[in-house]
Amino acid sequence: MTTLQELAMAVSSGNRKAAKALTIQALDEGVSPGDLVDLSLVPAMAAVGERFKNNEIFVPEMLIAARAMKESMTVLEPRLLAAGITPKYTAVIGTVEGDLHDIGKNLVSVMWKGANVQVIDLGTNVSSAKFVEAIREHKPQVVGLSALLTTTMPALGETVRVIRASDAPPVKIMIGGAPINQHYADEIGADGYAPDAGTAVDKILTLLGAI
Amino acid sequence: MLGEADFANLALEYRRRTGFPLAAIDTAGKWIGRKTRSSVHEAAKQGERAQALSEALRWGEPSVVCDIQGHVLWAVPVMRNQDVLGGLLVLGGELRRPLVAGSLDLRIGTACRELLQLAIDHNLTNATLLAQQRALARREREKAEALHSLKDGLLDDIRSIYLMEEPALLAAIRRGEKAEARKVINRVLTAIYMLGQSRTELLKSLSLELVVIMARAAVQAGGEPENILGLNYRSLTELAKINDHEALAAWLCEMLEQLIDAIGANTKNPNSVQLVRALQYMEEHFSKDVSREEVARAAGLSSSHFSRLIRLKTGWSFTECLARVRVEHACQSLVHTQASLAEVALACGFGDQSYFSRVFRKQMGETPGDYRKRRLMESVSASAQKSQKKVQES
Ligand code: B12
Repeated sequence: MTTLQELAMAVSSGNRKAAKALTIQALDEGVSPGDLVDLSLVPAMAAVGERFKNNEIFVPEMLIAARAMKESMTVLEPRLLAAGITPKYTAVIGTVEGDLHDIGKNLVSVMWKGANVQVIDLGTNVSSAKFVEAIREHKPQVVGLSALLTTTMPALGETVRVIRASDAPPVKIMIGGAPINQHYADEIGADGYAPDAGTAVDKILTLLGAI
Repeated sequence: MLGEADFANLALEYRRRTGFPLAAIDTAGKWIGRKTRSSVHEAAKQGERAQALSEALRWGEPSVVCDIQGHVLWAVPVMRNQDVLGGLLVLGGELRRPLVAGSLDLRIGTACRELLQLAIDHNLTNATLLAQQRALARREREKAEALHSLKDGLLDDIRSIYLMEEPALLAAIRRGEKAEARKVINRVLTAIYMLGQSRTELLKSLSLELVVIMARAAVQAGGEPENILGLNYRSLTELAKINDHEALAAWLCEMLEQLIDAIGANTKNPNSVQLVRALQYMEEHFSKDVSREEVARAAGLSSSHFSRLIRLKTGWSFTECLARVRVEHACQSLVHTQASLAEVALACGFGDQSYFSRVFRKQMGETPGDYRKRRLMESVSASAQKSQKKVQES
């Protein structure tokens, strides 16, 4: 097994210590942080999702896997950040109200930081009012909204509406999450959609270039 | 709603069943009957408890939530009719990786189910409303999964969606499992709508195709062909009039219900086809190791349903039934071949000779060796008689 495979195993089985050690080991072996995410962490969570779907695991062990994933990301994040450059742009990101999933949003956040964007992370279960407040305070160029549940997709649409209708400074809105697609983004009038963290970087750079 | 003594009993019962302590909270997550100092920390904790409560209400069952410190909690709402009065809450302790995979899920999952059951048994919650919420959550989950597979590009066009789902749908129809069939139909519909959007005519032709396939499956499953075909004709005329998604969805679901009912309506001999198929499978595979699950699958039945059915129709359990098939074949071999007892045992799937002898004897009342001898004698004397007769006739 390669280190990346071992790491994926550690994450999906929720072995926090091994996840951390293997992340360090993989980076030391010269694996790029992007590859580590794409070839190990994301597939690991996909496997967790598959097992949950098939009723092989339930919420408690899913929580354990999520925690192991976060452990790996704490090692990863500093390595991704471009050193010594002051970010020119700011983004606000959060998971919408009623939704507690944050792994995908965190990945996007880390990748954006890696692309030299300052990211203000509002966490999970964020109301539309809180988004508006944060936009007023930080005056970002882009705000990212994440939703992982079909039942919180309406909250995503609602947040877009509230932001647009507010007196906060104008901002580009990007959305994402497992049930979201381009079609839905168009429907609710978001400016951008990305299916994964890598594409989210390309997309934010395009949007920023358009400003 | 609950006196102090009642609650103490409830907590005792829960502790006895699951080993976890039970507490009571109000709708804002404040402890009931417990003193707390107010602090920022306590306010955060209170928010987490309220969240566990609202999650339970939302999903219709206790849903495990993790707090900032990595401790888990779950709750069940205490309700009078539609009103939420508060909740029963469990602090499940620190989240630790289990030594044996699955054991944590098992322990906490059981504790969640017990909590729900306790609240229902003591009439402390609105069981109907929670059941509705669970059904809703299940539907949403199916919808989500259909959306995911669409995104993964697993299903590039509408046709491939139901080609992929077709086996599951047909199997469910064959087994007469309405709930399962409905679930598959739901998945197909979500996916179809995502892609079909405004192409109602396309959707209509696909739906028709689906109904035809379902009808065929229903006939195979023992439904009355006349009934089902008549139904198809009626459905055609109805379909022609439909011109929006909602009506189409309703029509498809209605078709499905009718088809499944048509299978069930064949009460003269319900499930006879499946049973024949099961016996056929046993006939073809008795020489190898055949499991109950395998036979049930071949017959298009769930293994528990199959067990019940076979017992009902034959009076034997699956193991007995299989033993009969094997012994029957053994009898044939004993009489018509020269194979040794050990060879017969092996050829008929009995593993070893002593087991073969035991089963055979139990069923036939004599050992395989005695049986062979007796039948041999009988056939010798029968042919002797025959030839004698011939001699007499001539
Ligand atoms: C891990 C997980 C959990 C963990 C989350 C832990 C955490 N801290 O995040 C826990 C255990 C808490 C959890 C809880 C629940 N979950 Co859950 N969960 C998952 C699971 C398995 C994986 C999600 C994940 O992290 N994926 C990995 C990341 C990397 O992928 P991602 O999130 O999709 O993000 C990528 C892209 O979508 C995109 N992206 C994401 N956000 C954004 C934002 C922007 C701006 C952009 C541009 C891009 C972008 O980029 C990301 C990186 O590539 C999914 C299954 C699935 N297939 O999604 C179910 C799933 C989402 N959960 C589900 C359910 C049902 C639940 C619960 C209701 C279960 C329960 N009974 O309690 C609760 C709900 C809690 C709540 N109120 O939110 C269902 C959802 C069904 C539905 N109706 O939609 C799913 C689909 C599982 C299933 N098949 O049933 N869950």
